[in-house]
Amino acid sequence: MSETKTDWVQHALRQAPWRAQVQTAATVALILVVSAVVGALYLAQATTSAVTGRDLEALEAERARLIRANEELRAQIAMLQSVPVLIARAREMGFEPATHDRIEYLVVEGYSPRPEPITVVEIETSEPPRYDATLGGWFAEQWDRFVQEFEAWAGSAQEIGDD
Amino acid sequence: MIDTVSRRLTIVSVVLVVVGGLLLARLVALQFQLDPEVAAYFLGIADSAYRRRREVVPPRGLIYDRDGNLLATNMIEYEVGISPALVSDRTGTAILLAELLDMDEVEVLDALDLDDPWVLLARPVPAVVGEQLESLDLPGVSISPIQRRFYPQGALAAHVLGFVGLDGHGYYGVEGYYQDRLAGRTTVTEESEIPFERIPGPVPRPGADLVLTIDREVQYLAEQTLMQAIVEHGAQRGTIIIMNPRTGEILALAVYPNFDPNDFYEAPHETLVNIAISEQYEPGSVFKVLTMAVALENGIVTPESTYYDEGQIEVGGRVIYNWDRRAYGLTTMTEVLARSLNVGTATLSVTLGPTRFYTGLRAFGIGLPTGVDMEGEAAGELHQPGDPIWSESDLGTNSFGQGLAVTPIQLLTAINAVANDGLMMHPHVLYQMIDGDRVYTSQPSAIGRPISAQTAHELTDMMVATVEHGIELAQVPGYTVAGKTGTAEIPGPAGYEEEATIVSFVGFLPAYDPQVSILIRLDRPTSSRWGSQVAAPVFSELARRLVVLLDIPPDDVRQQLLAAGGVLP
Repeated sequence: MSETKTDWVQHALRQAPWRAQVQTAATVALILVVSAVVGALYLAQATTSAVTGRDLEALEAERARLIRANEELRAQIAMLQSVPVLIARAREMGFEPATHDRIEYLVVEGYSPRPEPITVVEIETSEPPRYDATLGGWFAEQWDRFVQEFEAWAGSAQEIGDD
Repeated sequence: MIDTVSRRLTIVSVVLVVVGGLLLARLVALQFQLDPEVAAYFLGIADSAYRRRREVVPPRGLIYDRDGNLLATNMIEYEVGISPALVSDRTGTAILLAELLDMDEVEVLDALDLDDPWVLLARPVPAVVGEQLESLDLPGVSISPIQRRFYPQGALAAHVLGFVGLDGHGYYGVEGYYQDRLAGRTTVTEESEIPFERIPGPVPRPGADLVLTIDREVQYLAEQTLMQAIVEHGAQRGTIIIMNPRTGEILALAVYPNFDPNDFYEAPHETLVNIAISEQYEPGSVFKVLTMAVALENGIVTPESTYYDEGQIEVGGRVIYNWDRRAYGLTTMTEVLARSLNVGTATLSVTLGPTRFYTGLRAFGIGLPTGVDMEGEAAGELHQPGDPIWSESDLGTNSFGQGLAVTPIQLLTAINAVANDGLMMHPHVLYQMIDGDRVYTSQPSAIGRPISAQTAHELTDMMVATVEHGIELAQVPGYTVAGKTGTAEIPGPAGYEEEATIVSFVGFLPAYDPQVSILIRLDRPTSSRWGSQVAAPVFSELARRLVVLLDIPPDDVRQQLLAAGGVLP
């Protein structure tokens, strides 16, 4: 049988010797194509990674700029709300400082002007819940449940049989 | 011939294939880093070009007053430098930099002529200018952001806050005391741009925010009052402390001369020191309150007890006189305080004896730091028998505040015990610390109980009588005030100075439900040398405005409130 096959190949090569060359060329071409594809994918991945890095840097710079802007705004607001500025603005609006002899106190029965002390409750931080379910885990869980139910059923059947 | 050519071609082909194979093998080795040495070499080049270590400095914690008003925040400023070798257009760059940085062109050109690889031109540069320079993208000019502490209220509460140096470290005040908490944790990470990579390291911990017990409005009032008093009485320095005697909270702490923490480097060093906690001095007659407290606590006298005042007493070979050199005859203990009689308190300390007297003073924390949470507290000085420089005469002079030294915060903390039923509270400026999701609130804590509640109440009555009958200028209409003045001579190398004094007043109100205690201290006033004429009116003026700010009704209203079933505010 194998002799017949060898003969057939030799016969085919004798009739069309280019077939072996085509096979070799195709193999080389395939290797080249695969190499090119792998190379292209690697290049694309490296380029994407580099571009992402640059983008991330730009975003970080933008974040830093926004933080700076926020800090400056916060400082400006604080300056505008400083006591001398508030006093000057109040005077411009016609207010003047209250003196102790110009204050009238009203006594309201049962009213306590002393506010209740504020109890600050410490916020306890806890780990966020973890979702680590897997398909295998789900199957195992179902199997365990099935086994438990079966054992329960078998147990009850045994008890009935005992009766 | 053909055979020869064929043979040669075969040899050349073999050689080419071998060489090609070697080259290919080398290429593979390089590409897949099979040779460790070569791999290390190329990795080194890549790292130096794309990988870098980055120090991540977390933002420093903010500081607020008790009502949430911002007292200290962070701002970004810039540092501008040049690499002379990389600057192509020297003249143009110099003109531009000089204009933007407000520098002389020649100065910039001189820097450009240096052989150094990098020269610092200006630091700190305002954010607006820095961002403008950054957008110009000048060759050879480097602009680096630097974090800077900013105090939006300017000089307000400067001595409470302290400042942050150019090294990013806090000095004095809460900036120094809570440096570790405010600064957070700086980390160093490695990162690479190509290939993009971040090596995870420890996470930087942002600094905790602090909420202080300081009330910004009360602080402003204290500073304004102090400034007016300095000008009006020609004093050189001074301090005012306002506290809640029930909790030990410091509501305001003013010091003159003041400084602006934004420009701390321009302030003389002596102005940076917080004399309210760092500088000890002889308190003078204010100290008689503590001597009387020790005497009452030990049961050797009551407020009505009498002694015969001869105008002088000899203690340890030294004759002690009353401040006015007068003799008052039969005198009660209440009158000793009201008239501020040195002979009376010296009689008490001698009667007590050194052991009971000094033990009592130690219980008030004299000679010990209070532990106030600001950097640079001094402990004061209290010499006792056994110390080389203690002499028996000290027993007499110490009784009226001479020959010992206290800090203003120490003295006010001690007298707060009288206002707080004998319980001495720990003075503090931290109200809350906000660290991420956690909020820590400081709880009032007692340092000790130097006197009983009964002694405290008796002493309060005596201090009220002192203000009512001895220091009219300290009175506040509508409110009972408990207080005591002090006039201390200033010790020098050749004994006490002739005319110069340190005047003070310590008091609290409303006397029978104290909500604020105040210490006034003025150094070397020129209008008068007496505390009753200089410090007492300053206290009165301050207290009148303070009761408005803090919503403290006068006594009659408070009584009506009680009668109506309310609670005294």
